[in-house]
Amino acid sequence: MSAILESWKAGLGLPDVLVIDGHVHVGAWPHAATFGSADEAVRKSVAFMDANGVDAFCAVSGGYHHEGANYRLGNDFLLEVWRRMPDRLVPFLCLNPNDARDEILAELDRMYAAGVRCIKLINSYQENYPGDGPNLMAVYEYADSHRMLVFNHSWGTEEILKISAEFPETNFIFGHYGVLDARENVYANIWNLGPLGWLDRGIAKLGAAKFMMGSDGFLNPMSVGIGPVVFAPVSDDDKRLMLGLTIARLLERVGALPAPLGEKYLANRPDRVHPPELS
Amino acid sequence: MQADEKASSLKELRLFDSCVTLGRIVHSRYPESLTAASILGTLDRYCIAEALVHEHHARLLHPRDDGNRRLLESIKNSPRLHPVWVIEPPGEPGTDPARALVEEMLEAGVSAARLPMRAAPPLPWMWEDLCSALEEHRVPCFLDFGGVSTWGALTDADVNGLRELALAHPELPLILSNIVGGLGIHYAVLPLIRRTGNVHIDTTGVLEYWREAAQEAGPERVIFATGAPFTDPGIYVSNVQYARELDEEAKRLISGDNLRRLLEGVR
Repeated sequence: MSAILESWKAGLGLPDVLVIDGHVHVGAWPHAATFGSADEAVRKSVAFMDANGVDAFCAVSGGYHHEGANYRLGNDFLLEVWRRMPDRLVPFLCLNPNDARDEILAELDRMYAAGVRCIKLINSYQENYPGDGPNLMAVYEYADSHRMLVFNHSWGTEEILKISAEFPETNFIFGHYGVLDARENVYANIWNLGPLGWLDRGIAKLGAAKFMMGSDGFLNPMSVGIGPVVFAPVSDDDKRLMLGLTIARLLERVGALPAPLGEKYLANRPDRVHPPELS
Repeated sequence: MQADEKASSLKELRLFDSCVTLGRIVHSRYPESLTAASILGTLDRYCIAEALVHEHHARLLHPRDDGNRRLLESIKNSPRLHPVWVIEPPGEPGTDPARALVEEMLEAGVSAARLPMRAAPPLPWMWEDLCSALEEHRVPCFLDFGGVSTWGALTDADVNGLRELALAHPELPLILSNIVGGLGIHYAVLPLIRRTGNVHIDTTGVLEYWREAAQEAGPERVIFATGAPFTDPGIYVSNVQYARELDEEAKRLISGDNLRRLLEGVR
């Protein structure tokens, strides 16, 4: 029996489990704004998290990464929201690789100086800029030299094989599943409208440590990301990995895990959940 | 972490899935096609009490009767599974052929119909006879706008045709199904629901809009559906259970009691 599943089904959320939604948008969006203001973003996102038993979320920017928009405005909004809830939001800056390289690097510098350690890409929605195009290679190089985490909506197979090999010390996360089996430094956020058992098959093939929970909130409710994980026919240890431990490990490595979650991160690790018996 | 307020207990919602497709679906994304034997395990896994089921090939191929009959045979010993036939207007116009089809369906123990709108679009003059026959018996009708999978979309012409059908047959429960194929949903869906008394939506492919429909038009207009096996039930089950904007009664209606009421109304 899964204690995590039983708690979820009983309507209690996920008691004592570290839960980090790894894929959430805040701010403007082409077909609807997630929130009308920073105040509303803070108030409502906290309410959404509390209702679902979520400790924190990765804010992979807002709609300002879409074609033609000034991505700095999206980053400004992200910083504004982050400063009001630093314990429960992990910011992922956005950019547009079609911009001049100097402008992109200047924005990386600005956001790094502000404390941001994670990057969100969505080049397939930005005039389909190649995932291994020169400006993005410069971004990966920056991420590598500054020890940052890189998240993308999607990469092509050849692209991810190339960049994950060229930057083996940088971790790369697919936004919606992806090609995972070739590299240790490639992970997947699970969110998609996947068919029955899709996550089961991925776990069976690659192990739970490759996957992390995400909902594409606040375009979607957070529960749609949690559901497939808690119902997966795997151990609670594996569920803890997907619900929060793996993304927490990647965030901690780049110095982006909110400090109040550090203790819970340690408490959820398998060696603490299952301490060795004293002989 | 623990939820700040206890959400509904999944068991108490008595989930009734209105959209499950049985049959072997040869597609790399859906290697786990549902059979009558496997569907019950799937329902148990997701705490779904019962389900309306239709047959994959009845949605796609003529004669639809082959798939419909195969469905009856495959679920005959499964009382938690309730058959849905995929039907379209008989070739011969007039009330008699339409009535004969509906009576054949009811005599076979089938109390709900799935109307393939992509194959036979919602032209009121074409559906008039069959909708009249279905209305006489108050048969819930799922208006299916999906293609091979549950992904679909509505056009302006679809919405106009639906409006005419709904107003012409006010006692016929109409449930829009498979109307989402990516981001967004046709602007006129909620206006249509609010301007008619008998149009509903099911939740296949719909992650947020169903809440808006429930809040704006009433929870009795929303019908729970997972779209399995094309989509994972864990997504939809949790979506309804943890919907913080809706009270317990509204969630119970959406989860299953609306559908039970419609089926109990068949005569």
